[in-house]
Amino acid sequence: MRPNPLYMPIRELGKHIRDCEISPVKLTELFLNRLESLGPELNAVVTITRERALAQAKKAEKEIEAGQYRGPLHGIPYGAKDLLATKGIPTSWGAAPFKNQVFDYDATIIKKLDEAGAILCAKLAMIELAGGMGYRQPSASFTGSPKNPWNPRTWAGGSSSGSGAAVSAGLVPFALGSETWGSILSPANNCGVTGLRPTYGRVSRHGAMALSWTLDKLGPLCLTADDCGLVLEAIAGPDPDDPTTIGEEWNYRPTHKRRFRLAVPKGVTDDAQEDVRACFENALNTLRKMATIEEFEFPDLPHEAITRTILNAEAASAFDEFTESGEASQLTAPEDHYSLYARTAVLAKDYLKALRLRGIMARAIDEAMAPFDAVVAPSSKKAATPIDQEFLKVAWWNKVKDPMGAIGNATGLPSISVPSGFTNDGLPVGIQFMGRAYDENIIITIARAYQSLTDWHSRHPNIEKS
Amino acid sequence: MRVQSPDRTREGSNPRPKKYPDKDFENLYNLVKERYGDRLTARELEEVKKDAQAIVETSRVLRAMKLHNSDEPFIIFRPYRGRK
Repeated sequence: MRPNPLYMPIRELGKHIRDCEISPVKLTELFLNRLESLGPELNAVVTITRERALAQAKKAEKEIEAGQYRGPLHGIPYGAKDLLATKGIPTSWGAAPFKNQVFDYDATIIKKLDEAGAILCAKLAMIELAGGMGYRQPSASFTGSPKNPWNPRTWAGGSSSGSGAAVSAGLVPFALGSETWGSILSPANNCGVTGLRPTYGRVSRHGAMALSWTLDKLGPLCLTADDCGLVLEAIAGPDPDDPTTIGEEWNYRPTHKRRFRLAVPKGVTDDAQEDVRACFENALNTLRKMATIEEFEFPDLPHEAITRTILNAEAASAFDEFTESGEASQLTAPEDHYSLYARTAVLAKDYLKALRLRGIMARAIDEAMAPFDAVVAPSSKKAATPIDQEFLKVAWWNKVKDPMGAIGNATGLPSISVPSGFTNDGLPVGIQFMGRAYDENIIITIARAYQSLTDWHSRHPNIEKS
Repeated sequence: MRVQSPDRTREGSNPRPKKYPDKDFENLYNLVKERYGDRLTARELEEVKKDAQAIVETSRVLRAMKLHNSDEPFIIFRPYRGRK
């Protein structure tokens, strides 16, 4: 019997491809067909790159048959968030004013996946300009509200919406996303997939839309933590085109199995949905089989004010010409027409104060986390929200308590979100493991161990066309 | 860069943001309105006002934190020299 490649983890898929039991061309055709038939229903896809994909697949097949196997991603299809430059293929940044934008080069991350033999099948939908204009609703994307495969009346999360939905719906085995503040972990949570936000600088940002230079990170969304490790190894590494990249290669080496020491932030579920709290408690009970769990407190600093100020100031500068052009009025969400204007008045002294406080925050959180392997918390305080409702009624920074996101993103810490259960409405929720800087191998190992004790990541939505 | 003493984070913790005059907000909002007001509807300007207020409040929280002269921005500048 031929193996069924749908929802097969990359490691397993790769073995079948290496052993010539699965053809990269047939595999690519399978996922291209799913992208074409199911992608539009979910508003998950911007551009299907059929021609490029089939050319890459034929090349991969020929090489593998000739014994030139490149590694676990060789012949594996994937999708990329549509903020990554791809030569000759539109890169819309999810926004109507940029829908015809075409670059004449590939982003470094795309080049690296080319070198690993992976096959680009689609540019995936996203929230316009990666959510940097202050969006408050799922409809903030020129390709339509990104739907959640578990329930299309709910949101896929954002801003890497299509990346989460495509992996969850089995449209691609893995996808690339980006996170400035929550944009990988949110769709991973809502769509019930595994998402990895690497350490800042681990993956080159060259060719990725800049929202906030010192906050932006690129990372994978996959079926399993192990898959995230395999993809990260391929996309990580220094890049002369991005001077902020870490100067050394990263090798995926899960640490040996041992008992872990995990920290739970005090009161982390106080403002969470009841179902989220219940799933988190269940997850902690499972984790106690492999870890010691202790409560800890974040250092007392204005984390969200620091991160918000950095994001506001850098986004205002990154989109200065766009702001002045008045083209914001062509964006899809009404709030994105005006939210960029106030932030043009952030004072330089406040931005610099935030950058100075960032150093204090980085040292304080590292010291607090030093005794632990990771901090564990819900990936989000809520499951997917209704597709037609604002998820944030009031955009005041101090009303939204997200210390994990504010600290993790401002100080560039890695975090991995894995599915950890379902709400009573059948929506997935996730748990995240945030590590110290550069500790991707540790958090992936913990997530793998958790996934070896649970089957949440093996459950998939039923979205086949009737 | 200065090494922080263990109690450094407490030094600036829970400070009450100074009550700056509402002029901060007015000035910021008026600047934005002056620059971009002609593009915005009355309802949108009301929203911009809320955003401006949020930025002022956030800045107040940051300004209340005490720093030493030696606390540098956590960002590294390296002089550039080409290979040729």
